[in-house]
Amino acid sequence: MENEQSSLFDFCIDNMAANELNAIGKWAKRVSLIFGVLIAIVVLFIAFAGVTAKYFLQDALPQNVGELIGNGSLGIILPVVALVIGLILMLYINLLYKFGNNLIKATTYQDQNALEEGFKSFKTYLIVTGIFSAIGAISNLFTFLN
Amino acid sequence: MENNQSSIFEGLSISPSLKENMESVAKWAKICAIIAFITQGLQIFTAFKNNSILGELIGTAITVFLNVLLLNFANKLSQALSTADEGLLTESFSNLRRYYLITFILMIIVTSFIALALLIVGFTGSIPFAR
Repeated sequence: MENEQSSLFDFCIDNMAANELNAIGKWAKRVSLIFGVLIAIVVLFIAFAGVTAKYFLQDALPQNVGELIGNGSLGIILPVVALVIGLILMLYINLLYKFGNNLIKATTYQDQNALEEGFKSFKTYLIVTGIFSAIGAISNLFTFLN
Repeated sequence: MENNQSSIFEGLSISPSLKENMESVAKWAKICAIIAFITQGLQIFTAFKNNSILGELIGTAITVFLNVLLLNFANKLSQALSTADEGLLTESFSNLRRYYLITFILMIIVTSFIALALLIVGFTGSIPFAR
């Protein structure tokens, strides 16, 4: 056990790996920021142009749902749903932002805690991504079967 | 070589807790990549069924390339952690860096198209209500 502990601590992150980690941090941060902008654009559009969205959905959705939107009962719900989904996605993408930020901090200041926090955020981010991907795969399976 | 040895980051190391997190990261990255391959396969079959295979091929090529990078990252990270190989660790991080670089470029393109589409929909959609 003692040998195992000491050999693990001997496994250092060298200069090249640290440079790669720094670059990953920068790109992950940029991806999270652009994803955040994309979510904000879509949510704001749906929230402020609810009338326009309602107009398009009335034709796109099945008749009974379209009528409900036309009556105005779902017209208010639509921006609220968009805001809630947007908020969930923002929380999700914040994990990637934290990962990027912590990697930059870890490599710049050689901060071991930031590195650990970063990989913890990345693990959670990947778990959520896995769940979203599985939902997507199941919906694709239904599309394929129908 | 000597220079390389001396420039090792003294402050950053793979502690047991970091190793545990990295192993989970590798496992979940592998799961995400495999699910993405399955999803893409299903989309190809659906497109084939609907005779719209050509449009799907570009999307499939990009998705497959991106997820190969993610899978390489996961596999090399697992190997690096089990063998304590610093070279493999660097290669693994290099794959993740390329993955995020390409994702960023694609996101810029997609965001531009969506912003443009929303602007067009916003203008054309507001016309019936302005009358």
